[in-house]
Amino acid sequence: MRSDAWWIDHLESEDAPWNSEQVDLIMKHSVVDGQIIFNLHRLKMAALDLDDIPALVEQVDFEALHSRIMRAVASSDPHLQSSDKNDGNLNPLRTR
Amino acid sequence: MAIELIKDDHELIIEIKAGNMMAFSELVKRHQKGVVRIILRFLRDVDQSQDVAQEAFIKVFEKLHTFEGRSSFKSWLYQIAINLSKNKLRECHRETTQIDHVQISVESVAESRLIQASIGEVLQDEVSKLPHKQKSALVLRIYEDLSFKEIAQIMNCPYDTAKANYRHALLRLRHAFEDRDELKTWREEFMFESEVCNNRVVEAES
Repeated sequence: MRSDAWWIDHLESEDAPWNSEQVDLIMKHSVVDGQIIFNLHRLKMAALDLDDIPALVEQVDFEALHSRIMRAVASSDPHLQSSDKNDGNLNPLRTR
Repeated sequence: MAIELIKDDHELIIEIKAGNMMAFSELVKRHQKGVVRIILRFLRDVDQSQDVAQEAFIKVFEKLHTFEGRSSFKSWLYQIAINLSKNKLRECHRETTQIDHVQISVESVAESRLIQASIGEVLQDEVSKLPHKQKSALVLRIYEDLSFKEIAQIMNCPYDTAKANYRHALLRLRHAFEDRDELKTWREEFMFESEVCNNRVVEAES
């Protein structure tokens, strides 16, 4: 069994059915493999715990972004150019 | 009693294709936060991420007639957002390589900072060094909690390739951490937990 592949499969609960007995046996008796999987799990948890992206997302004004996107879409499409570009609530018009 | 029907993405897309811009507005509202979040994972810059999100939605609008619905709309949208992020990163890289002399001095500062850095900063640094495909698989799996099937759709690759990219990424991070003190602490913690666990088994058996 190729070790790095089954470590990750086990970590992600994606053990192949034909491997599961062998994996159970290794996990019961091999401290080294258990430790590697534990460390990989800790690495994943640390990545989640220390994630700073949600704080950056909080800085975004999504209402303003929505209006900006709708204006940009309207100005990128000649069919929509004649509609009201100043708000996000565009009239039903044909797309390309 | 009025019942408000919540339309799914595919129903909204049908309406957009029929010319209903309100449906597109709803689609943007529904997905903009997720799109900005995924772009931020690559660019780590709030302003740039909003620009790229805008670009992604324009592209979606322009290419919507080509969307056949074989994968989910979210997968398709994220694929576009990740590709645009990759292009933006390339652009930024080109800009920084033009000022090599500045980079040299920044590098040495960064190096000494890294020695003192917390595990979070080291992680961030190691993730940013991953090849694009590995980073995409890692980000989509760990932070977006997507299945490998969804990751394969977004990355436009076979299921096993998506999984292999994730595996390489995680093992690469593990190697980077192998010699660091943080991992040694985890190792000790693991040995302690195994011992507690073994003692419990012995107690239960006796």
